[in-house]
Amino acid sequence: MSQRWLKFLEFLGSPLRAKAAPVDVFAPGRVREGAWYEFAHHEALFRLFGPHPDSPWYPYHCPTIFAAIDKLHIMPRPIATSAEITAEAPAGAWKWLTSESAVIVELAGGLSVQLGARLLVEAGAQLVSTFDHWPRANPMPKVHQDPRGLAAQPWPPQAVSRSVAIDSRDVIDCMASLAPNVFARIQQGIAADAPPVWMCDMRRMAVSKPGPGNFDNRYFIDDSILPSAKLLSRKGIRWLVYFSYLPAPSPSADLVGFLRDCHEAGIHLYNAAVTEPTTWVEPLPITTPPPEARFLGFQYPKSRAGGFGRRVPVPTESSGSGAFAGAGG
Amino acid sequence: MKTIAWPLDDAEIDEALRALQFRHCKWDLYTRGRQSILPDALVLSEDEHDELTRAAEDVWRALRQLEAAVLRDAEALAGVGVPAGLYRALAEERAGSPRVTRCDFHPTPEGSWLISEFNEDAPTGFAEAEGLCSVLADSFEDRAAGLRFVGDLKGAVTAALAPFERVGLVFPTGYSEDLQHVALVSEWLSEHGHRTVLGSPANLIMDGGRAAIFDQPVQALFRYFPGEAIPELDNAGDWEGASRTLPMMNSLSATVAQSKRFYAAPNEHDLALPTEARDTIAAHVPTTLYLRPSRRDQLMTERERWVLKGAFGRMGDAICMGAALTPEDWERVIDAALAEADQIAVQEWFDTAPHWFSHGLGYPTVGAFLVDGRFAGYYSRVSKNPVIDYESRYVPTLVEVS
Repeated sequence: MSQRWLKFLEFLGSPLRAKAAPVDVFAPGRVREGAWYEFAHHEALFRLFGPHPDSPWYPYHCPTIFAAIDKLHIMPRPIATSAEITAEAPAGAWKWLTSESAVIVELAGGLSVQLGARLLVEAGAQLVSTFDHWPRANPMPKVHQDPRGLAAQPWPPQAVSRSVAIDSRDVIDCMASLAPNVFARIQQGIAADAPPVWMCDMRRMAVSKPGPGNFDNRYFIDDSILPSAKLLSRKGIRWLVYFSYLPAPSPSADLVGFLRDCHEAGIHLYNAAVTEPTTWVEPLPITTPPPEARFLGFQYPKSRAGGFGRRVPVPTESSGSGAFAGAGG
Repeated sequence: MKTIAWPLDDAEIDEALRALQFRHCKWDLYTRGRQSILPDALVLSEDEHDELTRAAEDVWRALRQLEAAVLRDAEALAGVGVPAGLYRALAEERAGSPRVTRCDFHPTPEGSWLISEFNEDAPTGFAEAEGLCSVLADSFEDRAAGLRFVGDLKGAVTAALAPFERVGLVFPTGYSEDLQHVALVSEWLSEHGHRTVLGSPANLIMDGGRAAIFDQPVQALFRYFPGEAIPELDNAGDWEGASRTLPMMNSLSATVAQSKRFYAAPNEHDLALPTEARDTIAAHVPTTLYLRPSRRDQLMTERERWVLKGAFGRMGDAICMGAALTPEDWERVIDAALAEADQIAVQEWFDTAPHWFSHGLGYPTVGAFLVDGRFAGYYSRVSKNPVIDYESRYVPTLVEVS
């Protein structure tokens, strides 16, 4: 193994140093070049793509995909951004993003990260990650390339693993790629009461055909990740913007009850769409309240085999509601 | 037992929790926005620790005798609520699998301890029982003289699986709260030189007596998936094969003892259970019965004496305390429960003693992990109500040393 490679692993705090101290990217001297690979450590990304530590939304920031980077030895790669997300914003875009607003971005994986990062950089939002799964079941095969030499992969990702229900490598790669911009903006100051942006992967409950050789890593968003409408109101949130790819959205089933609760709590619901930049300036009001039907895990048997596998009739701490839950007792 | 606050300032508490989150796979540090770990600790005297350890191990042994008796008796096996689809796997099950269990003790106002149940199938609390104690140990050693964390869950689990180089760990893969436990155990095993592979129960394939997950051969399984759900899987046949040949922590027979109706079996069936085992269970576990239509009147007139429990309920779900309901509500609950009486147990209610914590009064439950029947560490929780449920918060347990 080359000295350069060893240094890089040491820099990342790799398993070579199992008890490495927590990484603080904001510590003086920690970031030298401001290059993406200086932020590839899972704790660095967790800090950058999460809320201000004093924010009321910090407890909702989900660590699962960040833990995967560590435990599965995932080496983030640079990746290009979508032209749709980076399109020039019309004058007046994001003016509605104030401390009285909150945003749910529900796009395909990495697109949610890209849009979330844009809202942070251009409008001072704070991010909340909702990626509550691992992109694969077991550690990655060893990579033998020096990531400093890797050219950015094109967007969208060219190689997608078919052996997992959701290949969310793009989420990790987008975070690493955009980390320098996010870092620079956070250094300028993001307030603890900045508007929160929940970044959601719309693929999380995708239809899939699990088989013995496939990892069923679908998941849903529950009340450990989304706060109650009551708390949002108490913290002064008056507008919730649901950001979708197309206008006239149909939110995923696990968000419907949440949106309904917000509507009933007097929070005004709006929609903005990636394909409709005029909504970046003026989101459209959602006039029809979401249906009353509640998401119950067993109505969406995630698969018949493990994972979303079946209704596991036991609640655990974080799933709470008792309608669906994991195994622990 | 007494309680103390962690001898740490706010920044140190944050640091400890952050270390727990990523180093020890405790990803659900918050439940509904509230911290799931209480920066307090329970302190047991050495005598109390000895008493609890001895009781947990004694009852564990008695329960193994009861489990064997139930497994031998077809009527009792059906009575405790084990799905029929598991019977064949249980009948042919390989003996000698390692087992991890957690036993929940409750302090009573009289100063004694009662056990509400053992969590025999997929007990939770690995990160807290091992990880948080490891994170806090140094700070406490310096600032809380005369107190120590006891047990070695990591050592006990890895020792029990030591003979098997390749271990498969299966869990319900849609649930990160279960993945975090399995990821931690996998890490423990990897540190001890094992090769591990994670997957869902659907990823298990048996081929000619050999087991594999994702084409990786495995010699043993760590099963973190409810046994009662196994028969519903498409590959239930593979699980039957695995039960016959594969060491499994825990084996499918743990499903028998996981049922809340299991504790009623000595009262409901004519089992060949030694008197000593029967007496040991009766001395520590409240009287438990099956819910039957013939008991409706007794339950109505003795409302405050009884608690209803779902056979395979976990984390306090499907528990109804008669004392907490009006007679009218209790009647409605009883009548609704009678519609699925064969999945409900009735346990005698007992009073539990609250203690003062930094946030106010709370009801502690002291969980004792056992690996193969030997004490391996504490996982205790505090609830604002006398029932431990998903809103309970973890609290470390220390023992006074002389």
